[in-house]
Amino acid sequence: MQKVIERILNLLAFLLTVGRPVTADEIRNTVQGYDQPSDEAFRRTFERDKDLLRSLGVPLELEYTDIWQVELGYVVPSDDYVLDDPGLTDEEQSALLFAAQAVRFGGQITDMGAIFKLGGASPTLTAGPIVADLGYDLDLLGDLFGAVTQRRIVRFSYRDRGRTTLPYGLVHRFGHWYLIGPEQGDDTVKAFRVDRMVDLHTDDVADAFERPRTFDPRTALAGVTQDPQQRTARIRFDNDVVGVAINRSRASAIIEQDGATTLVEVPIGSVQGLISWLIGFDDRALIEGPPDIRDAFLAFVEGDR
Amino acid sequence: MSSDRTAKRLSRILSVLPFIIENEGATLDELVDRFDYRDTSDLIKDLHLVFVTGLPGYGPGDLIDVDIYDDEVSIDAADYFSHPLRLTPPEALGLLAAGMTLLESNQAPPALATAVDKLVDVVGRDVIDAVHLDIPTPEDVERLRSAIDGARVVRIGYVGMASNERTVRDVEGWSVTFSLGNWYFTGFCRLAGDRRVFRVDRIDDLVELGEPYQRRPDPHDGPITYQPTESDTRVAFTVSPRAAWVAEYYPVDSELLADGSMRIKMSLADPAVAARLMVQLGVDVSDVDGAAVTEGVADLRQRILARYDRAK
Repeated sequence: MQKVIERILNLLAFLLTVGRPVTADEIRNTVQGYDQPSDEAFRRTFERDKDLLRSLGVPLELEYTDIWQVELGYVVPSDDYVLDDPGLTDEEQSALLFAAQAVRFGGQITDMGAIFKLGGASPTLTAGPIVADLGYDLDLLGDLFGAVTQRRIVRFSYRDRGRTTLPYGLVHRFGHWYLIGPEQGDDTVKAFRVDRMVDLHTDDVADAFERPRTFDPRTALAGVTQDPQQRTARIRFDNDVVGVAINRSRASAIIEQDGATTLVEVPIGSVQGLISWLIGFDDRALIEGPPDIRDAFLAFVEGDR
Repeated sequence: MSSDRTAKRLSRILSVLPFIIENEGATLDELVDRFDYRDTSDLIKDLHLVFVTGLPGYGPGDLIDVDIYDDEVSIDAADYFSHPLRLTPPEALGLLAAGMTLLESNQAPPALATAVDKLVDVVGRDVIDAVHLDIPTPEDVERLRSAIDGARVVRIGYVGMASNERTVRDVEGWSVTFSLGNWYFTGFCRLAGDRRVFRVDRIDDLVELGEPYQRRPDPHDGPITYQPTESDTRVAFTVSPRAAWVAEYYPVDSELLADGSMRIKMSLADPAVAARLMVQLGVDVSDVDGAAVTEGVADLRQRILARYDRAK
């Protein structure tokens, strides 16, 4: 491992100072550590090193070495290499470290690489138990995050259909991550659950579209999923479970209460969602109205649909 | 040596170098502390490695000059490594999402708000217009956390997930965790005499008792997951493609069938929970295998319809 790191440090030092695109051949002849005996061995070593540098975030790009555009060479533009100094105080760095340790992604502890890039942090706050797990694979989310912030078009397969989507936003809600945006050539903004995407591919071209000024990630998902009529239902819950029902449905209001039951007005998100939620209360809830919702519920439970 | 470990070590070196260049005379102890080295000797190994690298020519004037004197480190002839590397998208999202989560749930340490704000400046202000984490945090979360911090027993009214029965329990809290869209309260339940995980939105009453307890760490520190036991109910059923989400929500064995439907086998702690799931799936479920569950389904349907005076 030591030799590998020495070689890659030499390569990076060279690319950061040479100031012009350099070919693989020149790298092989100039940079210490690329004295592999065969072309094949050099090629394999060099490919691995490039992958490793890119995985760390090094912008290693290909450009023509001269105006005749005959040969391509490698270049690391230092403007893209350098992290702008956010000017964090020691206290702020420790707070970020604490956050990174308290929040996990699918059980995985966040890699400390980002904290180190920001100048490291002294663990002054005692790490408590984990506070949140945001699920999912951070690498996949990171790719989507990159596409959203750099406004790159993404292609993926979703419900057995290929999609080309303008990623306006990325939202975590109800335990899931959603990519939000319209499909190319269509104005309707849709929500795609990230864990249902297959074969994700991000386009190379940045700034490929404009995010509408009216787009708001706080309300975008609700706009996609909620009942456009914004109706409410009147539901009578047993008093034992009504506290739980109200906890779950934030916008609900108590209409009346007696010794055994409580009548609550609950916003209807989607009818199917409401039915499923109410089955969760077994026989401790009763829809008093509206009648069409009550009928839909009964038909569903009777197995008519 | 795995390339992942190589990448991690190289990444840390590329972050340590700019820090030393920027803070000449940083001490070994400070560097070990800031960059999470196991000990000074690990740090010195990395510094020695840097010492033999540099620019083509690789003579005395070309190699990076690392000086360790009296525990103080300085570096010369490495201006090209004087800036840290930009964050990758996963790194940026990981930190921002972690920070936003603590801020959204009112559990941020001081200075986190300004830290996240500065980070957003670096990543790009329009992150705020594009990324949002909805972490609805009931007041109970804060109260439970404060009870845990003070090591005070809490008395909760709790409506069980499986039974919908309400019980009152005294709990020695261990942790409050947000996972897959829900808050969970974990601790030693005196009623059960064992570790229990409670979903916070099913707590309908919460009182902090004055009584202290000996704090101990949760032996299952990690994500909230269902842990199957011997006495669990096994059930098998087929779902239509529309209901394939079941395989994502629960730990199951699933097999895709030729017509696009899915055969699912799963185990659940309580047959009542399985029965409820079958009723919720409606016509999207068929061929349910498991006597306790099919009986439970018929019973649950009957009870719900009876409430509407529609029992058959």
